[in-house]
Amino acid sequence: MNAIAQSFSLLLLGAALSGSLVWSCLAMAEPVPDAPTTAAADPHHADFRAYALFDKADFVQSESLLPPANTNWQSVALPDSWSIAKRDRRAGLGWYRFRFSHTGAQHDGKTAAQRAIYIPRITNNIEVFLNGSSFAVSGRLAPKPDNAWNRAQFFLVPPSLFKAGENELLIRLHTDGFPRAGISKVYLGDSDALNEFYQRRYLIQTTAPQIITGLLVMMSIFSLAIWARRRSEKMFLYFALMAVVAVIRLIHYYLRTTPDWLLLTAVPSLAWLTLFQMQFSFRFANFSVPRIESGLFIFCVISTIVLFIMPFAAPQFYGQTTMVVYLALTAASPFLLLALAYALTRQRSIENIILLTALILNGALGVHDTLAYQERLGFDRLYLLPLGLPMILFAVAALLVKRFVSTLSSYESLNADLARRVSERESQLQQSYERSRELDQQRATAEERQRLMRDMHDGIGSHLMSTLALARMGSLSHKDMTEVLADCIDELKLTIDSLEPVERDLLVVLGNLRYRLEPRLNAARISLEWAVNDLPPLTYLDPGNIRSVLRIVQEAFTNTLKHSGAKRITISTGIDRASSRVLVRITDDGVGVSPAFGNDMLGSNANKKPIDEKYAGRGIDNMKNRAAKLGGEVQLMALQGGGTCVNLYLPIG
Amino acid sequence: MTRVLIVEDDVAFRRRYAAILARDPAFEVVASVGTGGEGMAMLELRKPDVLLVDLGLPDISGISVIQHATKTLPTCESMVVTVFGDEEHVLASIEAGASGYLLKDASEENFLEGIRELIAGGSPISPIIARRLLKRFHADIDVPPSILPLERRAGVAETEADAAVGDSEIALSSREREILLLASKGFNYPEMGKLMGISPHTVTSHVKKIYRKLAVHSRGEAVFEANRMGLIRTL
Repeated sequence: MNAIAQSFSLLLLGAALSGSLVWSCLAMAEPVPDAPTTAAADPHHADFRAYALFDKADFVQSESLLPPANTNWQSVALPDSWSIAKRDRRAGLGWYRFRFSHTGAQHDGKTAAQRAIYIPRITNNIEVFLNGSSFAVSGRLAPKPDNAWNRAQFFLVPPSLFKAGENELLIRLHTDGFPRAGISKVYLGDSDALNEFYQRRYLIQTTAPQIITGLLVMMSIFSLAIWARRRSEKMFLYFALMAVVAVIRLIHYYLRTTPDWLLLTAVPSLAWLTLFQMQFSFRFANFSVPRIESGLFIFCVISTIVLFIMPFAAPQFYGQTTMVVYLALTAASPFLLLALAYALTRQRSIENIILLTALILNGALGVHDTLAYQERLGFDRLYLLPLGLPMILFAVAALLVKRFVSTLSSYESLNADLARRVSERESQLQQSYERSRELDQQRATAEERQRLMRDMHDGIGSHLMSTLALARMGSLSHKDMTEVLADCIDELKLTIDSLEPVERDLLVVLGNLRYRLEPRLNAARISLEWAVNDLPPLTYLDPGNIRSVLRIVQEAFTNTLKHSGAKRITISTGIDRASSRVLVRITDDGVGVSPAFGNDMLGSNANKKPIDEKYAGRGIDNMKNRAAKLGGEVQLMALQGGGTCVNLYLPIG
Repeated sequence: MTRVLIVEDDVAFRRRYAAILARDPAFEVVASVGTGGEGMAMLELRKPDVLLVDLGLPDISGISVIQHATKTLPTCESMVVTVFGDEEHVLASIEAGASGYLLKDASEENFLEGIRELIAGGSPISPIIARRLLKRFHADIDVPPSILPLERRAGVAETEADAAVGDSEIALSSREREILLLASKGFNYPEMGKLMGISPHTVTSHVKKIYRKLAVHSRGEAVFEANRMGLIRTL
C-alpha cells in the first residue's frame, strides 16, 4: 500500500515535471503577439518589430496551379484543418487568400525593414504569391513532394512585390495525400522578429530531434558493446533496441524526403518503442512482468503487420488504423507506467527515480502528441515526444556512472582490504613461524641435551664412576688413574669435535679423530697408515651421528691399543662396491680375535683389567648398536696370520 | 738457546711447563707469569723468542697478549696452550698472530715436539681447523673429489703454484690450498709431503705461511673484501 502511494506520488511529481517541460517548450515556440493581430492591420505602421497575424483567410478548393480568378472564396478561420472541415484531402490542392492594406509608398529598399512570412505548420507543401507573383515554395512539390508537415515555414518577401493600398497574399496548399492536411495561422511582418519565432520552432521540431538521434545512435552502439560482453545483462540489449526504434521513429520528424517503405515504420516504431522502453526499464529495476511484456510484444507484432499491409490492402482505413494504435498505446501507458513505477520504487536510487521521471515524462508527452495528432490541441501544435528521450539516456548514464564509480571504489577498497589481510596473514605467519622456530630450537636443544646425557652416561660418566669406585677400594694404580683421566679428556674432545659442523664430510671427522689419537699411538709406538679415499657427502652426519661414528672407530682403536699388542694400524676408506655402502676399515697386526671378539676379550683379560673388561665388552656391543642405528653395520674379523679387521659399513646418502 | 716466556694463571700448569722445558737444554724459561699484564711487561723486558700463553687469563684475554707480541716483538713466536684445541680458540689465536697451539694435556714429549715444530716451521693443523681455514679463505671445499690420483693432482698444483694470482701476501696459493685440503682429510705433514712430492719441511713452511696469511687476512673487512676478488681468481 505504502509502495503504491509512493509510486503514485512519484508519478505526480513526474507529471508535474513533464507538464512544466511541455509548457515551457510550447511557450518558447509560440509567438506572443505584441502587435495588432488583425488581417486589416498594416504592418508598415507598426514599429520595427511589428508583424500581422492572420487568423482568417478566404479559401477555395481548386486544382488550378495558378491563382484562380473570380471563384467562390469562402471565409475560413485559421488554423484550417481539412479533416475537421471534412474536405476531401485527396483532392490535393487548396487556395488561401489574405488581404491587407499597405498605406506606405512602394518599398524603397532603404528605409523600411525586410518583410517576411512565417507559418508554423503546413501539411504538406505550399507555394506563396504576393500580388499575383509567386515568390516561394516550401519544398519540392508533387509528384514527389518533400515532407514539410513538421517544418515551420519562413520566407522573405521580395520588397518590390508590395504595392500601395490593397495587397493580396495567396497560398496554394498541396495536401500530398496526408491524412491531416491544413495550414496554421500566418504571420506577416518584420523578418527579424519572425525569424526568431521560426528559429525557436525549428530548434524544437528539427534540430533537437537530430541531436537526439545522434545521441541515441551513440548510446545504442555503446550499449550493444556492453551487452556483447555481458550477455546476462539484457538491460543493455533492450536499451539498444529501444534506441534503434527511437531513431526510426525520430527521423520521421525531420526527414525532408522519406522513402515509402520508411513511411510505414512511423507508427509501428512507436509501439516497439513502448515495448522496448518497458522491457529496458523492468531490467533496469531488476524486475519482470512476463505477462505484460509478452502481451505488449504480441500487440507490437500484430499492429506492425496490420500497418504494413494496410496501405496496400485498404489505404482508406490507414488513418483510422494508426489512430487505433495510438489510442491503444495511450490507453495502456498509465497502467504500464504504474507497473514501472512499482518496479522502480522497490529500490529507491537516484537513477531509478530519474528513469521513472523520464518514463512519466515520456508517457505524458506521448499523450500530448496523441492529442496533438487528433488535432484537439490545435493544428499547429508541436510534437514533443522526441524531447523526452534524452531523459532516459540521462537515467542510463547515471546508472553507468554509478556502477563505474562504485566498481572503482569497491575495487580500491578490495585492494586495501587485500593488502590489510595479506599483512595480517603475514604477521600471523611470522608469529607462527617464530613459535615453531622457538619450538624447533627447544626441541633441538632438548635432543642435543639428551644425546649429550646419553654420551656422558655411556662414556665419560660411567668411566669416571667406575674409576671412582675402584679408587675408593684402593685398587687403582697411579698408571690406571692417569689412563682413565686421559680417556675422559679424549672423550670430551671427541664430544667437542662432534659438534663442529663438517658438512657431511666423513673424512674430516675421521681425520680429526686421527689427529686426536695420534699422540697416544705415538706414545704406544704404534704406527698408523692413513689410506683414505674420498667419500661422497653423507647427509645424515649431524653431531649425534658424528659422535656415533667417532665412538665406533675410537672403540676399534681403543681395543687395538689396549688389547692387541699391535705395532701397526691401517685405516682405509672407500666405497664397498658390492653393497654400495661407505666402508671404513680399521686393521691391525695384533693378536687377532675370534668372531666373538668381545667375549674372548672378557675371558682373557678379566683378571688383569677389570675396567677394560667391562669397557671392552660393552664397547663391542655399543659399536654394533651404534652402527645399526646409523643404518650401517660393524663386522669384526680375525685376519689370517694374526691381526684384526673392523669393517664399518655406512649407508650412502 | 730458545728463550721462552710462559703466561699461565694456573700455577700447576705453569710449573709443569717450566719443568718440561727444563728437561731440554735448548730451552730457557726467561719468565713465568700469571696475568696478561705481567706477560706484556715481560715481553718488553725479556724479549723472548717464544711466548706460551693461556687464553683464559684473569685480567685480559690471552688473545690481547698475542696481539701485543705480534705488534711489538715480531720475532717472537706465539703459541697458545688450550684445553681442547677447539676451533674457535685456535682460529682466534692464529688471527691474532699465533703460529700454533699446544694442548694442555699433551705429554711431555708431545709438548716439546710441538714447540720444536713451531720453531722449525709451523704447528700441525687439525682437519677441522684446516677445513675452517679453507672456508675462511673462501676456498671452495665442496669441489667434487677429483678422479685423478693425489700424486697427479699434486703435479698439477705444482704448475699452478707459481701462477697464484692476487695479493700473494693474503691470497692462498694453490699449493697452500692443496695442503689445507689434504690436512682436512686427516693426512699429516710427512704424508702430505709424499703426496705432493715435497719435503715435510716445505709443508710446514707452507703451513706457517697459511697462518701468517690468516693473521693478515683478518685485519679488516676492507682487506678481506679486496682479497676475496683475488682469491676467487686464484680458484
